[in-house]
Amino acid sequence: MKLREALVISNRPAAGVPYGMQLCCGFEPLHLVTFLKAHLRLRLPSAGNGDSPGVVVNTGRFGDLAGNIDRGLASGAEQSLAVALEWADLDPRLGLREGFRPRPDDQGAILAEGVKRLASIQKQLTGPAARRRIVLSLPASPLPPWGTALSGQASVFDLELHSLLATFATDCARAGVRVAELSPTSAYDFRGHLQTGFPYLNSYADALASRMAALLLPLPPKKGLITDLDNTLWSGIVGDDGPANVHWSLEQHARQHGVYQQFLASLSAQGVLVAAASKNDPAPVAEALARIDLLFPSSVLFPIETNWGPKSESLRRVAQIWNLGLDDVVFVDDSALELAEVNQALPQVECYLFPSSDPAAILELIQTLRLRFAKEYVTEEDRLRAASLRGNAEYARADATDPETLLAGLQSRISFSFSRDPFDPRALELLNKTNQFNLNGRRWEESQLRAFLGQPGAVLCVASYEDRFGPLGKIAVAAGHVEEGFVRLQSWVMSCRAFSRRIEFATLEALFHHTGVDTLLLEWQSTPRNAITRETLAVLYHQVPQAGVLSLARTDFTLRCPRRYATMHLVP
Amino acid sequence: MNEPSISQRLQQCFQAVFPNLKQPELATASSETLSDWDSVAQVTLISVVEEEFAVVLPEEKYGEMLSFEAWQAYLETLRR
Repeated sequence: MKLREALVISNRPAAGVPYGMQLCCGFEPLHLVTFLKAHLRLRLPSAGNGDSPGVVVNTGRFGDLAGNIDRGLASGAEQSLAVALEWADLDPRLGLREGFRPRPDDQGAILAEGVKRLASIQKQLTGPAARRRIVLSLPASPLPPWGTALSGQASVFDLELHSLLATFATDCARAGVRVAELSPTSAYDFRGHLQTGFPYLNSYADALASRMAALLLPLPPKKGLITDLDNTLWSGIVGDDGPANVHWSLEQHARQHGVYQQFLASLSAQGVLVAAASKNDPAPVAEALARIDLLFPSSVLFPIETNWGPKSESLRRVAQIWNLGLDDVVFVDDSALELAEVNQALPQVECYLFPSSDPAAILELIQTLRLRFAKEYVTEEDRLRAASLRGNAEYARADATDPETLLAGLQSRISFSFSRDPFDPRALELLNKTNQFNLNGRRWEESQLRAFLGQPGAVLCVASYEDRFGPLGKIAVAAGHVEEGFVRLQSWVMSCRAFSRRIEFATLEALFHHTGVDTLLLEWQSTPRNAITRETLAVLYHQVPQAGVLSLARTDFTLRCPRRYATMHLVP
Repeated sequence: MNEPSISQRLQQCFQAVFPNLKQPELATASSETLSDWDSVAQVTLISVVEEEFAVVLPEEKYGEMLSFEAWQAYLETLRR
């Protein structure tokens, strides 16, 4: 966007609690602040009247990056930090605005100073005070043009500086800092830098702000991809050509389909659900998917819809088996007609055309899809998701005429962890993504949860589950604090994959046992989607309670709680 | 379709930089009439106008472009 548009967006009327953050840099931040405000406002959810919250970007002092980071970290545990690093922050002699007489023997001293300063910045960004979301951008201005080098040759000094920077960035990324990936070509505005101290062209400032905003407020990723088969997963029509004559290899000039298969395998490995919806007879499809040269295990696809009905009906069934909303699903097909039918019947589904005859466009599509499913963390639960869905499908088919018999035969085991350190991204994910079993619908910013867990008396209970149908991983979280002899629960969620196993009651039992309190207080609020929670509370209170703080005595819990069959243990 | 005039486009630039500026005040807006026309507003206005009109204001002109009228006259000159 242009600067004018960014100004208009950032100055729009605001509603709700403002989003505050710290921008730390050594240069004059000028238009970067405006672009950052605009991009953040576009990402913040609007209130009922359509206005989004305002954005407050706190900055610091010119030329004092380290001090600005310190002041930013001290300002408030809940505020995110964006750090824009430039070469002059490693050593002022690397800046073009600063007037130094270059000397041949400077290089060693500059490298030594750079090592020292980067180590110090790394310590600031990854130390205990930095328990919040931090985004880092790397230098975009050019290095000073001193020293000899042939045309097109990278000097040893420049390479050593870049190597230093790469090591620093890698170590920060490993420690959880989000390093922005941006090409710095056409970034630097020498004229502007000299006049105002702001070194970036507006086009780069816009791109940088957009990237920072995306890392500070990432959009939720899609959860499932449903793919067509003919001329999408493979080249050819399996019903006409036969299972042995559909192709995805280089030799058969179909490698682009093979790349797509590998991409689906990578999505599945990171926990994305992948299914197929094809207008075909089941037998040839099954035979093709059983080929040993397929570039992903056939278990990746679940379920596989092969029929001659509308694709939209197949997609509905898949979403139901997955227990996902249609707006969590992406559909890929080589037929514009099929996409139009799905688009009309299911506008919530995001549809993409697979451009069978254009390999370059296929690669571009895969890169686009990669971003739609991108997650910051891939947890063990993500990796288990597809397998646990199959397990759930078997569980649903198991003899359920007597639920007690079924539960007794599950061989279920629940592990409870009450550890608050290190920070568990899966707990944050569950708290923010779970709707149906959710005590009150409360959402947590990462920095808020980190600050909350750092307080004395905070309680975090994370439950992991497995039974004879397989592991479900971490599936329930309760967060609260101890208060004068009782525990007050501010959040309590459970994944819908874990329903019907009485894990919610086991979680309450674990809370009573671990904390030793005789009373739990539950901050209960009905939401449009937490009907399952109301059912649980109806068991505990003999009716669905009104919104408010509910008291649950241990004695009452013991009397009213249904029988549990799982073995429970505490993770040390 | 009529393209917006220089004046209309310049008004949009001014209104973006000075969001409290009302339409009747635009033509007479200057660093003397607007209390929030400070050095940051000045560099922002220069950047917004340069981007909007795809021009580069010579440095020697910075001290002269202190009113809507001055900007309009300058941009009209460039068009000729």
